[in-house]
Amino acid sequence: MNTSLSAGRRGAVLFTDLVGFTAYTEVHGDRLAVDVLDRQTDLVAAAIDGSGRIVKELGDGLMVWFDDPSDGFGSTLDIFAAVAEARDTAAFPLAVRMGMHVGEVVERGDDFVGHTVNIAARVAELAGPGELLVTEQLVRSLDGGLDPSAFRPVGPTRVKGVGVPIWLHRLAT
Amino acid sequence: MPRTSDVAVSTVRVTTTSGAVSVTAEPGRHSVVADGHPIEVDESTVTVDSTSTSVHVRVPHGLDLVIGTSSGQVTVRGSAGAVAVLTTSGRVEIDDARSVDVRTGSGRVTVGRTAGSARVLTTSGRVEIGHSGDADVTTTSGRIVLRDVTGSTRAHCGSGKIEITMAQAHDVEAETISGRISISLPEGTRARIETPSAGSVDVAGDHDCVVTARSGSGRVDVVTR
Repeated sequence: MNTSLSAGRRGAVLFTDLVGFTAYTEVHGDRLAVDVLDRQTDLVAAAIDGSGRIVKELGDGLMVWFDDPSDGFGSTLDIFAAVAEARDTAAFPLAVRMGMHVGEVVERGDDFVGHTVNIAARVAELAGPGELLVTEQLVRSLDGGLDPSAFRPVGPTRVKGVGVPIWLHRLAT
Repeated sequence: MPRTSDVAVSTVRVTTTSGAVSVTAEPGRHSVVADGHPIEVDESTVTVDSTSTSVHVRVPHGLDLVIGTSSGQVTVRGSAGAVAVLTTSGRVEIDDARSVDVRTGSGRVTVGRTAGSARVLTTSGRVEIGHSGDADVTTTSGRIVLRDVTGSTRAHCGSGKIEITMAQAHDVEAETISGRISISLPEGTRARIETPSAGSVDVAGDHDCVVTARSGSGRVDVVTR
């Protein structure tokens, strides 16, 4: 297997996940389900608008990379708003949960691997429908600081291979 | 080592890898005591990080609490500020808090009262809240019981019964795939009621609130006391 690995690179990783996608597919069928996946990809691609890139699709979710955590967080807020608006207007049938973390990753071809990726994925799993959860490290990395009232504490989680608890916050809505 | 009574503490964080966490909020107390576990103080935040054992912490009443454990019961006694709990499995009991955010994989969640918002997310386990402002509760499986609610309410359940008693007229959204839904509104409430089975039932003139209730396979009752 020919795999090119490069040295560590710092940035932010976002995972999105469609809530209830399996049940939606059972009720509405594969074709409409694929339309929902495409719509999610379109909403995310439009919101990141050059500030990051969609690394890959994972089942009913996406992994997104941002070189600049602050720009990435701004784009993530745009994704959050775009999905909420689409939900309000019934243009998008499912809620999206999102999780974001910042740190070093290793590039593996077009992909990224490492603890930072694993943590971001874990954070997304813990988010509720329509929620954005972020790690404390992500909050602290944001340029100029963000109004602390923008976030609410959620609690600590632990990820295999990471010895310390990872404290999480949710975007206040 | 700094003493917690020397700093203006607003938030106490308690975490353990696995084991029960109990926090007692005591009126008249001015310091944080953690029964032999190490305490870190960073500005206004105190962190108690225990590894692999149960931990009991005593704190001044009214402080914000952020609590996490992989597996083990979480108990908050007394009157606390905003309480956030994140646990993989284990029962969660909170007596009284300014607001509540609980998420757990499995385990019953019981909140006595919160004057503010209650947000609960659980995969499996009954959720019971004695009094709250806004309530937002999601379970995959497990009954949801919300009493004496004084704010807008969302209750979503994969399978399980939903019982909501509103103390004031606010919007209610209740949905379960399988299970009965019972919603009780205060006397004199002029509600627009939307259910798939009964369609939309409106009142003449202005309405106080909108009640939306959907059950995939269960009876839906909306009554005014």
